[in-house]
Amino acid sequence: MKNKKTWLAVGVVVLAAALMLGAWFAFGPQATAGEKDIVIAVKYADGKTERFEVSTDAEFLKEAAEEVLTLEGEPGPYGFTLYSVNGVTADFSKDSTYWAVYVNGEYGQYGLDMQPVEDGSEYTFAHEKY
Amino acid sequence: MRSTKTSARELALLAVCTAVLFGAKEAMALLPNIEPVTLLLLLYTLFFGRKTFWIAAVFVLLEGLLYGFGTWWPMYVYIWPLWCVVVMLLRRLQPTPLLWACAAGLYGLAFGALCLPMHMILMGAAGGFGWWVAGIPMDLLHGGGNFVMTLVLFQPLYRVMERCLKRN
Repeated sequence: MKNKKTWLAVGVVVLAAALMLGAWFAFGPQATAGEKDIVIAVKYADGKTERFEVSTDAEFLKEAAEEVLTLEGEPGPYGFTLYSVNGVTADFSKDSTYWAVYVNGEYGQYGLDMQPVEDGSEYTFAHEKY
Repeated sequence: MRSTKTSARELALLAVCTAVLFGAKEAMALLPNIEPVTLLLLLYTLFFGRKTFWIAAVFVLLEGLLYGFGTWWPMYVYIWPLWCVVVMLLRRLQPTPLLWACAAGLYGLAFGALCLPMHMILMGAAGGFGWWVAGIPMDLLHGGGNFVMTLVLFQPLYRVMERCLKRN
């Protein structure tokens, strides 16, 4: 009886993990191949904004953004962690500032190297304070 | 009948357990979503029952003081005490270490989903769902880490705690 209960519990864990994996493949980031026309904008802390119209074959935002911006950061478990854009650094531990990434005006859900590039989209790098 | 009063000795014991929990969590902070909190709160709940809520409360407060009371903090406020409640309910079934590992693994897998109500308030239903999907790889890592850690360490740590508590 106890053995049955144990295997049932193991089965539930495996099933839950499999369902989540399925949800990831169904609804997770999906890159598209081919050329895409996008806008990349940078909003600095002083309110100054730069806009770049980019035609790119890159599938993910980091690669596309690096065609027009200088990005500094490091890969981490949650994706690429962005420290500086065009030499402007955001240091959360010093002054609670960070580089936020917006996709069509909405807060980006993925790390830069996991954010898919979609034709016609606008990606904004904003220097923000928490 | 189990006393609901907390003696000075017990209070000191709870404080030490809280320090171990906080220290262990920070020591493992570099590992992505591999944490000892689920396992330790499981053990504490088995030994201290409802008094573990004090440990969870102080731990959550310390985390807030260390990392800042950001949007993640309210989730910690209900997620960790909820795990203690789950353990209190499950212990009636007298689970084996493998069953505890399954429970801890499931809780790790469900962590993102448990944060969902808060993220839906902050980002709306679609934004919250998107956030959950984006975090699925981290939830899988969390669930796997919890499962393995509980399977390997539950019994030895249980014995150590039993011995220490008997000695006192």
